[in-house]
Amino acid sequence: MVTRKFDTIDWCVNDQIGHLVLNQPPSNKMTVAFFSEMTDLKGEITGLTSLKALIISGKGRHFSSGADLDELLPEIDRNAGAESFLQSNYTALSYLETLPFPVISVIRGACLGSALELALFSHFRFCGEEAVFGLPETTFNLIPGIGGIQRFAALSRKARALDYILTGRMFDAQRALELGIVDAIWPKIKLVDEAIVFAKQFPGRYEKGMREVYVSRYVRRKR
Amino acid sequence: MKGKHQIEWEIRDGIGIITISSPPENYLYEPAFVPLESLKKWTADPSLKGILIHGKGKHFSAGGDLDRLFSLITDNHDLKAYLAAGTTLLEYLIGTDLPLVAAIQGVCFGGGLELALACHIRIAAENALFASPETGHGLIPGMGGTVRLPETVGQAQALRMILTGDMINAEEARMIGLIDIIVPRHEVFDYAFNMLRKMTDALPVKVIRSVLRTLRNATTLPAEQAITEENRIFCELAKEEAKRRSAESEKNRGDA
Repeated sequence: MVTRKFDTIDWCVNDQIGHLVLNQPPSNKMTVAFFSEMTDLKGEITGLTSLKALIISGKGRHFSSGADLDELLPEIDRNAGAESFLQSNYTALSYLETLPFPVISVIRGACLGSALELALFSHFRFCGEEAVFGLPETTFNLIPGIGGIQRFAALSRKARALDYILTGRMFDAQRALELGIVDAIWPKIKLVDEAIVFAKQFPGRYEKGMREVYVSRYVRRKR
Repeated sequence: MKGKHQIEWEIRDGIGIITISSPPENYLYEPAFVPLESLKKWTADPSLKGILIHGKGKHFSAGGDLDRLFSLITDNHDLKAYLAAGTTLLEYLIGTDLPLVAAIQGVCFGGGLELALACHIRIAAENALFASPETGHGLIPGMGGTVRLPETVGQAQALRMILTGDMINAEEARMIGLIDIIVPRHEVFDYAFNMLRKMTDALPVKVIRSVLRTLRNATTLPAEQAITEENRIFCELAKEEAKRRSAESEKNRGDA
């Protein structure tokens, strides 16, 4: 089953698994158009209650380098309704967290800023060995504005969240695993396949309280 | 009354340092271990970027002065207001939205532990010891410990610590998530100080406070309101940054 065509997203459902690919390579920047298309897609994905899983990834070598600030900042500056514009960017992603089936981000290469916030709205995160993470917003005199502060802190403790968010420094896959930001590291070539294997053995509806149990029981860690 | 509050304050490189100065045990003379007015005056400095809390000498703090507490009860003192003043003080510190780091060595008991729990980051020396001994005196932790301890280490470990009053060492404290980092005894202050510097040096105070405020909102506001606030804060910073950038490019054009 193939569904609609978008400019910034590649979206299809295959074997009851939804594949959402950020499709503006090489950096897959999250542009205003991307957020708008994510909003358009929201109704469709929410309606697909029989999906077994949703897998989010980036086209090419990177997940995404995050929001396009050169486009976003002037947009906010001249937009009188900037707050509701930002609110709609938030809801374009935040609903992913409430979906009844597992939402898995598969991360290769860079996963920075809003892109990490997007990944933090998914229930599970798998990454390649060469993946690089960070919330660099404070170094541009901003803050992570799409729920990243709270979710990072909830996964990794306040101390580490403050350290990484205030310094804005990047960290690698191994550190992300130690921090609890990702659930497994796999060779990047196998990532999507591993996510599919995980999704297929997943027992029905996703329930938040069971996250840790699912991770320990169904996520095969690389050795 | 003079001298009853043995707390020192200094600002070094933009970091405020609170020193509990009644060694060796560094008992907290009363729950409001420093007058709120003094704390307000100290933290009013607009260049302040973070706060470090530590104890003078070998220990962080052995907690409240129980002899004084029980003598107040027999004096028919307003005990509730007395305890509430301590809670208000901790809430005030958290409400500054500056990163709070506790540098802990030696004992960190009772009210001392509650003070450390109000901090965002706890750095402990290898020789640090932690306990919540209040139940042994027929009391419970009275300055937010019954809330912050389970938030930090989970209900099971919090109950064990509070009901048994048993002491745990730094290694165990790290295992259960009570502290964040263990460092050698002589390095604990410097480690905490340098960590605060590294986190805050390059950033404007406003950005630091925005991050801390957003983190705090996640636990103090209903989810929807916390999101709206996050939006508002981001928007405000983004508008300023957009103006700064366009002013800069104007300037560059002028220079060219």
